[in-house]
Amino acid sequence: MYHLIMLSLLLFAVTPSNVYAYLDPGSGSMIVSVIIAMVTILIYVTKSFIYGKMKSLGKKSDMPDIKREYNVVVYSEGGQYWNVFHPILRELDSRGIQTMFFTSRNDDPGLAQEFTHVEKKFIGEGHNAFFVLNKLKAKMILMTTPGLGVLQIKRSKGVKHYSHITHATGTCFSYKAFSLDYFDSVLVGGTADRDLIAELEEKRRSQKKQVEMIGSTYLDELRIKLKNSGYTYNMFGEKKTTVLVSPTWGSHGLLSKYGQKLLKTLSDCGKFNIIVRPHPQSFISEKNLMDELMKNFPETESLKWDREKDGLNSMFHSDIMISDFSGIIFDYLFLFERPVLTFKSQFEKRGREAMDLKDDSYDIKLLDRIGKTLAESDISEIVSLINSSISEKQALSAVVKEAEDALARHPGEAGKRAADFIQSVIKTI
Amino acid sequence: MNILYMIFCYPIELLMEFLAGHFNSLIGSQGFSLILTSFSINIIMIPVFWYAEKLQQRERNIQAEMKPKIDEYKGVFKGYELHLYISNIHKQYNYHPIYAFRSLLGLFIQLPFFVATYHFLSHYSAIKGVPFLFISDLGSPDMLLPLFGAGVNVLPFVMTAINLVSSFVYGKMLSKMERINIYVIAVLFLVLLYTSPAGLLLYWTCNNIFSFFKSVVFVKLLQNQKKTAPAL
Repeated sequence: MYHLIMLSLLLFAVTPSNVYAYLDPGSGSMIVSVIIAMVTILIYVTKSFIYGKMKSLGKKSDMPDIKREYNVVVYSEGGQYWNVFHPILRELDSRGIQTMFFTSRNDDPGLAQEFTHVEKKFIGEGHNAFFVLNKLKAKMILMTTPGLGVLQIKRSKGVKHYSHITHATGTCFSYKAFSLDYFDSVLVGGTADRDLIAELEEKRRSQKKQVEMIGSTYLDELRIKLKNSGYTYNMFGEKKTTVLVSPTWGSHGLLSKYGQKLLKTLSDCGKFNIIVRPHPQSFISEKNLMDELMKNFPETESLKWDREKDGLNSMFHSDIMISDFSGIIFDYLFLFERPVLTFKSQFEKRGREAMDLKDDSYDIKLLDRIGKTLAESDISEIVSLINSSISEKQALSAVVKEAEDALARHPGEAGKRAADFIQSVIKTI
Repeated sequence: MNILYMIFCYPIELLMEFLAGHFNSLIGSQGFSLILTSFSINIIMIPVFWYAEKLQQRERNIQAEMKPKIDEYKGVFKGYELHLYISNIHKQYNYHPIYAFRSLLGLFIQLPFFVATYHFLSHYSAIKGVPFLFISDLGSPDMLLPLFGAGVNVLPFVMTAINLVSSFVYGKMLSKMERINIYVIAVLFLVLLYTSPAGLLLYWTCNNIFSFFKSVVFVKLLQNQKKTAPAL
């Protein structure tokens, strides 16, 4: 091909300049297409070169032995996923399966955990971690990081099996596009994600993945924590109907869209205790918004900002949650069976898996049944909406039972089922 | 450079000379022999044109299929992330930007014909001083319209008019940007060829008439193929 291109360019060079004028429109357009293509390719190749260089900038410190052939590798982006991996590592350790736990945060609680058959290693963040993962040799790797083969983490030839585990109780509807396409298997909560993945595979004609419905490991962890917590209602001096505002982060999140208006309406009415629990990422990605909201709505006797690692205590205190499409909605539903008011209309589908699905996913449809779905115009009526939703909460039990099958089946068994699956995979390698 | 010309263009030039000479000896008219040569070369070129057109169409089709997703990602992603997502779209469609060069193959096949035609008609002494119909000398600019004491060449305008009609028909298969480009090229031809010999313009005007019919047929055929192709 290269020689052909060079030959053609030579022919261009030997041709008298005005011979191009003798071309008919079809050929003229061909020349234009070629020029456009050449410019496009040049830009593309330049970008690939620059970004390719960026990939190799990783530091060699904290580097694990990348020549070693690992058995099972579990990779965590940081402590926020410890609840996802802990039940699995515990189970693998108890079965004597040699496992390497890599984490991108040196404050990951997993590093302090004592295991017999699980080694632990901090491998650095960003490019450092990508460098290690892209060179890895292992029978199998399990991770919550989506976008394998699309974003920075590429499939390593030395890894036989890539497995993804979902890290929220909702579906992969809101994942970025092609998040799961290049994994060999996905460990999901229930039928909703199984069906969603099958629909995407059908539409994209992509390779079929093994989908194992294990339930939710981190929800199991929260169940244990809740059982052992001994929480009492002590966040506020006076016990009143308590509203937990707990949205996702980003420009389409509730706090970005309507935070000011919603918090003003809630606090002005004086009828509620309010807990605001922004997504941890909000304090990083939308710091200005957080600073402004915390300045306008400082902590009082009836308003608290919750920045704890898990939201269990806040969920325990509240009678109702106001959210958008954050995964915490379903944690709240399954752990406490309490109603949720959601603002979901602002959900940005572009660039996400949702865009390639025929319909809204199970969890998005479920929002209509676990409380009311609201628009901005409903904020002025929020007080009556909260009261009516709380009074109807007994109807939630049946919905929760059905939703459990779709989103988080096998309560208490997810870690064991994940380990069963891992064991079955490595046996065949 | 000369070796390339001898390998790729000279045989075609010899063929044109052979055809033009024989047609002239058969019908005794340099003008009509140029027209017949133009049509004969075009008929020989049909499979080549068709192949080149199909290559270009394949490129256009795949670009059109990828466009909605690429536009979607451009709306939400930036920088490196956007680059990665666009690369993945290419991967999904088994495409690489380098494949755009496939359309260059069509041009590579056609280019020797263009060069040979230009070279042949620039040096074809048989048409010098030869009148044809209303043209007084096929070897000089036509100057058919006497204005302001000098002659205005009409054949370049006729050729451009045919080029524009042909571009309009052909342009139905193209993007807006490509359509603008071919109209600009058609107008550019007018400027560049304005002072060319009438014989050359006669040849190429006939070539473009043929090209017009070819475009009509190709557009129909490719549109029918597109309609019957299974949707992805």
